[in-house]
Amino acid sequence: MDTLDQDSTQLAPSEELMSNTGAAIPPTDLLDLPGRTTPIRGMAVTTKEIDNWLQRKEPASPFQESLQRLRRDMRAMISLGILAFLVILALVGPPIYRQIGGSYQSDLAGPIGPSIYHDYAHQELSKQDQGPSAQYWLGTDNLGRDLLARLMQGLLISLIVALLVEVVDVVLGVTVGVLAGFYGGWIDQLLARFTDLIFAFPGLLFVILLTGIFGTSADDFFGKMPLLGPFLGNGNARLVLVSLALALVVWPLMARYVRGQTLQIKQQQFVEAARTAGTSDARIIMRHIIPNLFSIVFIASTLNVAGTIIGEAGISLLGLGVQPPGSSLGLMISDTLDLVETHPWEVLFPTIILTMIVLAISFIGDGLRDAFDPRSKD
Amino acid sequence: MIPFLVKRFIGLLFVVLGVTFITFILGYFSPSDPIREMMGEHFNAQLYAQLKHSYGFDLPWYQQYYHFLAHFVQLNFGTSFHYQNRAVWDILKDGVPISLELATWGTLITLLIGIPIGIFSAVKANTWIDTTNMGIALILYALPSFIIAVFAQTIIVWLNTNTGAQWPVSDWGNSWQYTWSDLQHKIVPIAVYATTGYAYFSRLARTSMLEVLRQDYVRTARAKGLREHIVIFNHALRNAMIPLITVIGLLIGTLVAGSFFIERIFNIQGIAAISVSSIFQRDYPVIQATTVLLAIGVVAGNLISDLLYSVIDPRIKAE
Amino acid sequence: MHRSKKWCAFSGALCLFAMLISACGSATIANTPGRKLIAAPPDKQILRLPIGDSDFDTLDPALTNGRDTIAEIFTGLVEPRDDGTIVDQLAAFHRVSSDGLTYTFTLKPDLTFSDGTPLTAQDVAYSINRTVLPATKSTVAGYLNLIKDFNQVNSGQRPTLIGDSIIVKDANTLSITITRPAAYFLEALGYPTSYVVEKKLIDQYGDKWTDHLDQGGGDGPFKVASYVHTRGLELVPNANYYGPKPLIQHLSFLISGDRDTTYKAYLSGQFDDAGVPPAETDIARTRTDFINTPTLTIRYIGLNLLARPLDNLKIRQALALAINKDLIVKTVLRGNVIATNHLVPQGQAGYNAHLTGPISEMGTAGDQTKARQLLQEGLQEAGYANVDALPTITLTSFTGYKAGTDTLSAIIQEWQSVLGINVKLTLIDSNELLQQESATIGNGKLQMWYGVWQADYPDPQDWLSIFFGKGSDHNFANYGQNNTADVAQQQAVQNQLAQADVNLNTVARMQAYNKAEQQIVNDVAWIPTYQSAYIMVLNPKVQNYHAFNALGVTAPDDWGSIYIAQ
Repeated sequence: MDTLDQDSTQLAPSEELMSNTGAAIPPTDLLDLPGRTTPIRGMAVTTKEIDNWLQRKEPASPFQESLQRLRRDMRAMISLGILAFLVILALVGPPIYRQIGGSYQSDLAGPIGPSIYHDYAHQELSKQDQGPSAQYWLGTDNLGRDLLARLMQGLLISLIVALLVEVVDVVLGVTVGVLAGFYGGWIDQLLARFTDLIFAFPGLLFVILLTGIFGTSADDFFGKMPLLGPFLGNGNARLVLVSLALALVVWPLMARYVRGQTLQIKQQQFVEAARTAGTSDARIIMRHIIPNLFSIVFIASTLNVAGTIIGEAGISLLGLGVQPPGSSLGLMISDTLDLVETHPWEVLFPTIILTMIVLAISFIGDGLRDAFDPRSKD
Repeated sequence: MIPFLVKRFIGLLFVVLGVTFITFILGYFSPSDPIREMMGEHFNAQLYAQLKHSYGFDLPWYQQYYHFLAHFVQLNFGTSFHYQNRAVWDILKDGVPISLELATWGTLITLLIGIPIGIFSAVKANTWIDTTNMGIALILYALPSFIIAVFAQTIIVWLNTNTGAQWPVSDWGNSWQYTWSDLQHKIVPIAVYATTGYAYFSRLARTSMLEVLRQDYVRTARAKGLREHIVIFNHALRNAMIPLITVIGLLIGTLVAGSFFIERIFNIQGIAAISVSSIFQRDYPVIQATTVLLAIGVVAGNLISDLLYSVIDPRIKAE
Repeated sequence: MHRSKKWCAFSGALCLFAMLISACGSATIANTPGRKLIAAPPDKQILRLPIGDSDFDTLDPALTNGRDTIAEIFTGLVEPRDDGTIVDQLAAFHRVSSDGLTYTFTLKPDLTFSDGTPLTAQDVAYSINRTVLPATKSTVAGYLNLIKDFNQVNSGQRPTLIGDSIIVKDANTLSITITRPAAYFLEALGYPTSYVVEKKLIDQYGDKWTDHLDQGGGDGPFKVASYVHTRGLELVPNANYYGPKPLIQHLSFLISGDRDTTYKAYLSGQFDDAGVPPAETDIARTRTDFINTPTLTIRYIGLNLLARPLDNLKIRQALALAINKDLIVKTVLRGNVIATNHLVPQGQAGYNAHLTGPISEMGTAGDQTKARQLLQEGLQEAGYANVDALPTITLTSFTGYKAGTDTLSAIIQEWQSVLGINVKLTLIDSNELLQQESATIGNGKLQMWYGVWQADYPDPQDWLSIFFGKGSDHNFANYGQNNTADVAQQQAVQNQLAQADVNLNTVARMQAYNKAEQQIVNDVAWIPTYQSAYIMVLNPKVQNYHAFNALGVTAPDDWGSIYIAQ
C-alpha cells in the first residue's frame, strides 16, 4: 500500500497479520485520535506563585481526565486487576509453590520435597495424568509433571514473549514512524516501500519461516550468551527468536499509526512555533512529538498483545516455539490437545488462562480507547 | 487513475522482488541443506556431491538468484524438491482453488451473519441481546482457531460413535462441487473458519454503527419524527458500512491464503497447508512461489480496499 | 425361515468360494475359528488405506523413499515375502556364479506391462540402469552400489551399465555383475529402486510420467485408475498381472491428515485402518480391531566413543544400566512398544534370543545399584575426582517428535536421580542431526544422539556392519576407530562382521553376527531404548491383510487372498 497517497485520516488498517490465529485488525477509529496537544509547562515561577498554584483547584488536564474515565470503566478495571493478578502469579507463584507441600516418595530417588516435585520440569513417571490432588494442585501431565507449576511457568514465558515483542515493536515502530512522518521526502518514501514489503510478506508464514529455519541455531547462539545463557538454555532460547519474528511482523503497523499521528502533530501550532524559535529537529521530536504519541502507542501495543499471545500459541503448536522441558501456554495446549477426550482438564486449564488473558487485554484496550477518545464524551 | 495504477503496479513489482529475495536469502543461509533433506537417512557422500552439482547448488548465491529470477519471469517456478515429479505451478494450481473455496464461503458467512448481528447489537445497545452477542463474540475471539477446530472434530466423532451417523471428520470432497457428500465434508471446516472472523466483524459493525448513531444527523432524523427503522436503514447503515467495506477489501487479499490450522486439522490440501509443510520440508521452490503468491494477494487486497474507499467517499481522490 | 432354493445354492457357492480363497492364501488365516466367512460381493471389495498428511513424494520407483504403494503398481526381479525371505518375482529363477560375483536371472514367460506391451530383459536392464544414471537424480540409487562400475556411471564418467555389468543375454535372460561377493545383494535388489518401469511412457512424458500411470507403465498386481494429488491414488486390479489376480476390486490410498485426524476419520468410517495416537491407546486396546505388533525398527541412543567422558567403558556401562527401560515404556510410551537391549530386532533373521545386557543382566529394567558402582569405578579409572568433575554431556535429538523428547527427558531424569549426572538435552532439526552424525566420524563433535533405524532389507548386515563395520560411513559411534583402552577388541569384532558379510553359509553367518552383537552390546556403543511396534486399528472385515508384520511388507502375490468379508 502506498502510504504517501493518503494522509493519516484515511489510512485504512492493514491486512490481517495473524489471520490464521484469529487476532484482529485494529479498528479504524484508532487513527482518528487527536494528537496530544498539551504544551509542556516550562515556565519559571516564584515561590509565591507556587503556593497559589498549589492551593487553587485546577481543572484536570485532558490526560488526567481520560484516566479518570478509564477508572470508571468497570470492565477495564476488573480486567486490569485480573491481568495484574496473573502477572504476580507468574512472577511470585513458583517460588512460593515450591515451599508448600509435604514430602513424598519418588520413583527412583527416595523421598522428595516440594522444591523438587513442584518444579515445572520434574517428572514422576508413575504419576502420569492424575487429576488434582493434595500433592499436585491441578494434577499432572503425561510425564507426571505438575500442571500448576507448568501453567505458571508457561504464563511467565507467554508474558515475557509479549513484553519482548512489544518493546521491539514500539522501538522500531516509533523510530521509523516518527522519522517518516517528520521528515517526509525520500526518507518517507524509502520507509514506506520497506514497510509495504514487510506488510505484504505473509505474517504467520514469515514467523514460521524464521523459526523453522533458524530455530535450532538460535538455541545454540542464545544458549551461549554470558548472563542469560542458563535461563535461555532450558528450551527457552527459541522464545527470543519467536519474539523477534513476531515483532518483525507487527512493527510496520505501529510505524503507520505513528507516522499518521506525527503528521497530525507536525501541523499543530506549537510545533511551528518551536520551529520558528529555532529548536533543533531532534529536540522537537524528543520533547514535543514523542510525548504526544503516548496514547496511540500504548493503545496499539495493548491491542497487539492479544495477537502475540495467540501467535505464540500457534507457533508452539507447530513445534517451533519453546522447546521442552520449557513450558508456554501454547505448548501446554498443543501437548494436551489430543488428550481432550480422556483427560480434558489438562487442556482446560491453559485454555482458560489463555482466554482470560486475551479477554482482559481486549477489555483494557477497549477501555483505553474509549477513555482517550474525546468523542465518546457524550 | 492511470498514473495511480501504474504507480501501484511498480510497487507490486518491488514487493515481489523483495519477497523473493528475502526467501531466497533465508534459504541460502539456512543451516540445513535441501539435498540433505532429500536424501534423509540414505545419505552417501559421493551421491550428495553429484546431486548438489545437478541442482546447481555449488554455484555462488548471486548466480543462483539470477537463475531463479530468470525462470521466475517466465512463470517457470521450477520443480518441487520434495515431490520430485511435480512442477511447482501444478502444486499451486491444486491448492489455491481449495483454499479459495474455504476462505470465500467462510468469509461470506462471517459477513452475512456477523455484520447484521453487530448492527443489531448496536441498535439494541446495552440490552441483554447486546451483552449476549458480544459475550459470544468475545469468547470466539479469544479462542485460537485450532482449539475450535479440534473441539468441533471431537464433537463429530462423539456424535458418530454414539448415534451411528457417518459424518466425515476430515477431507474436502471435490473442489467447488456441491453434492451431498461434498457438503458433508465442507460444512464444518467452513463453519469453523467463519467463527474465527465472526467476532471481529461483529464488533467492528457494532462499534461503527454506534459511532454513526451518535452523530448529529441521526439525532436530527429522529427529532424529525422518522420511524426508527427508516433512520437505521436509510440513514445510518450506509455510513456505518464505510469502514467495513475497506476492511472487506483487505480481506479479499487474504482469501487466497487460507487458514493453516483449519486446513491441517481437517486434512484439507489447500495452499496454506502446502506452504507451511513446504517450510518444514525445506522445499524452497514451493516456499518461494507460495510466499510470492500470498504477497501478491495482500497487495491486490490493499489496492481493492483503496479503490473501494475512494469510490465510497468522494472526498478522497486516488491520485 | 423359508428360504428359496436359489438362495441356498448361492450362499453355498459363496461359502465354497470363501473357503477356496482362504485355502489358497498365505499361511495364517485371520478367521475366528468355527465361523465361516463369506466374501462381500465384488462391488463391495473396496479397501481404503490412509497415507498420512501429504501426497506421495513420488510414484517413481527409482526415486522413492518408501515401499508401500510402489509395490502394488510395480514389481522387480526379486522381492521379499511377508517374513522377509527374498523370492523370485519377475524372475522365474536365478543362478549365482561360483565366485559369487555374477547373478543370472531368467524371467517368467510372457510377461507384459499393464497396457499389454511385452516386458523383456531389456526393460529390466533399462529400469535398473535408469536409477543409477545421474540424469535421474535419484537420492536412493545407493542401494545398487554393489553393482560393478556403479560409481563411474553415477558420476557421469561412464554412460551406462548396460553392456558392462548388466548384460542382456536374450529377451528373457540378463546377468548382473557385482564388485565383491555379498550375501545381501539380493535383498538390496529387492528394494523398489530396481523395479521395472516402462520406457515408452517415460520417453513420452518425461518427468511427469507418473501422472499418466493410468495409461500403463506398471507391472504389479494393480494398475492406476486415477491419481489426484489433493486426494490420493485409486488402483484397480491389473488384468495383465502375471501372478494371482487381486480380489480387492478397488484399492485407494488416500491423503488422510495427521495421526489424530486419521484416527478420528477411521472411527467415522472413512478408512479401513489407521494408526492409533498414543493418547488413545489405553482405550483402543479394548477394541476388537486393535493390533499391536513389533516392527523392524529400533530407537537408540548413539554414543561417540571419541568424546570424553564416553571413552571410558565403565562410565558407558553405568549410563546404560541406570536406565529403567521398562518403566519408561510403560508410562511414557503407554506400553505400546518393546523395551530392548538388542541391536538386531525381534522378527529379523539373525535375532539373538539369548542376548544379555552389558553386564550379563537379563531384562530391561536396568540395575541401578550396579550402575552407581560402575560409575565410581569408571570415574576412578578415568581420573575424575567425582561426578561433578565430568565434562558436560549433551544428548542431541530432533524436534517435532514428542514421544522421543519425552523418552529422553525421562531418561535424563533417571540419570540425574540414579547417577547424579546432568545430561543436557538439545533439539535440532532432524536433517541437521543426520548431518552432524555424519560429521561425527573421526572427531568428537556429537557426544550422544537419539537415532532410529528401520531395516532397509532384512539382513543383520543392515543392522550391525552398517553401523559398526570398519570404514562404514554410518559408523558414527567411531567403533574400532577411537582411543579407548579396548579398541583392539573392537577391531576384532569388526573383522568378524566383515567376514560374516561375505560368508555364504547362512547358519555360520548368523552365529557370527550373534557373537558380534553381544560383544558390541557389552561395549555399549549404542544404548537401545525400545523396538517400535505397530499400534493400529484394522477394519475386522478385512481378511488376510498382514501389512503389520515386522517388515511392513505386503508381497504382491498376497493380494490374491486379501478380501473384504461381509
